[in-house]
Amino acid sequence: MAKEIESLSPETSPTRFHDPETEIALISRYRQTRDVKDLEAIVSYSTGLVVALARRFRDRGPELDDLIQVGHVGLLLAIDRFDPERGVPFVGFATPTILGELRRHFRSVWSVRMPRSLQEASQLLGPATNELRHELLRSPTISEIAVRTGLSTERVLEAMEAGAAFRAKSLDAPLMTEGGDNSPLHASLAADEPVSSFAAVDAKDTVKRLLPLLSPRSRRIVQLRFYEERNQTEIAEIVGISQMHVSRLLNQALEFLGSVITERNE
Amino acid sequence: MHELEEAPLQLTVPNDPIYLRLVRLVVASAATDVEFSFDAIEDLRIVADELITLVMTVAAPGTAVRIGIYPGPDHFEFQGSALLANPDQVHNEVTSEGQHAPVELDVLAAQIVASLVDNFAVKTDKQQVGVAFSVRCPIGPSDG
Repeated sequence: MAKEIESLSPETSPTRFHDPETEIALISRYRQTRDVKDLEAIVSYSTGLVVALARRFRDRGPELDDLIQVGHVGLLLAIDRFDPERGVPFVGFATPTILGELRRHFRSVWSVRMPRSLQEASQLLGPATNELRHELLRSPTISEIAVRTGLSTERVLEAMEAGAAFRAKSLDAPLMTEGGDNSPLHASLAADEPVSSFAAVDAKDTVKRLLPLLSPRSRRIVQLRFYEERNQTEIAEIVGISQMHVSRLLNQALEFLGSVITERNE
Repeated sequence: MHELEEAPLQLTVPNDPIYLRLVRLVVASAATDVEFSFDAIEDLRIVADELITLVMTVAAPGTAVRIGIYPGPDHFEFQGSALLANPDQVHNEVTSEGQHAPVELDVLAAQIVASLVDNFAVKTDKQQVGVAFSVRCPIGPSDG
């Protein structure tokens, strides 16, 4: 990845890396098969776009590699949301999503200066919006999000501006828990005890975005563990495998999700 | 497009990027009142941010950026303008039809803005730079 990034000229237009028909065909196939090889190919096609977008922010502080990592999270989101049937070029659809992810990354960096109450509001926003999106099968209005979260519409707008609800964070990033533990996110998520603190909400949000990359069984296990709050024994009964097997699959799934982001920079 | 001076919502901010947050917040609030969805509001915030950032980069230091918003009923319109820092250097205009001028969004930003709103424009006259965009208002929540 490093060599690939180095070989891209700063002046290069991102559209030069795109063959729209090939890309749409790949995405169509990926949506049917969920084959990780197809996903890798799509990501490879779109790396030029991610790098070009990430470069726009590099003067603001973070390392380019970090920005590219965040950009790839946006790319994965775009791949998941893109509808090949609409006849819209993927680059046009993906660009705002990647850019939005990069902007949210900066806002999350600034969140350390936010009042705690606003941080709390921001953390409510992502899960509530995602839930409503699935229930309503459309993007919710601010009023609907306000009702769901119990916040005022003004507070929802402020939370949107704060942007921390969609914070992208590597699963290998240290997690500061209330007890001062400094373990990686995936280790905390894999434990059978619920993780407290806002970081857990963050981690769940990150995991949720990457769920489509998992096999159906692993996805089901992750969903049962983190979104239905089942312990490993309960999951074993539901899925029909041993608790040890659940533990193994859970760890594999989380390690895989963590590597999806970090691999892009290797 | 309406005249900025007649806009029901008007905002004047110093030519300083720190006030982009306020611009985005006002745009989001105005769009909320006409039932734009969460995603549509995120799009409007990005576009407003891109266009006002452009204005601020060419506006004279220490001057103000004026913003006007028409939040419906049919279209959500946004305009911004400021005094140019170097008015002798810019006399052309660029629009979504693709004309090029000394004051314009970079290719990528133009692509993003064009994909998120129905129309946008960046214009200059002898003394001022102006930006504008419009997008159709949602008919109901499912249209937002």
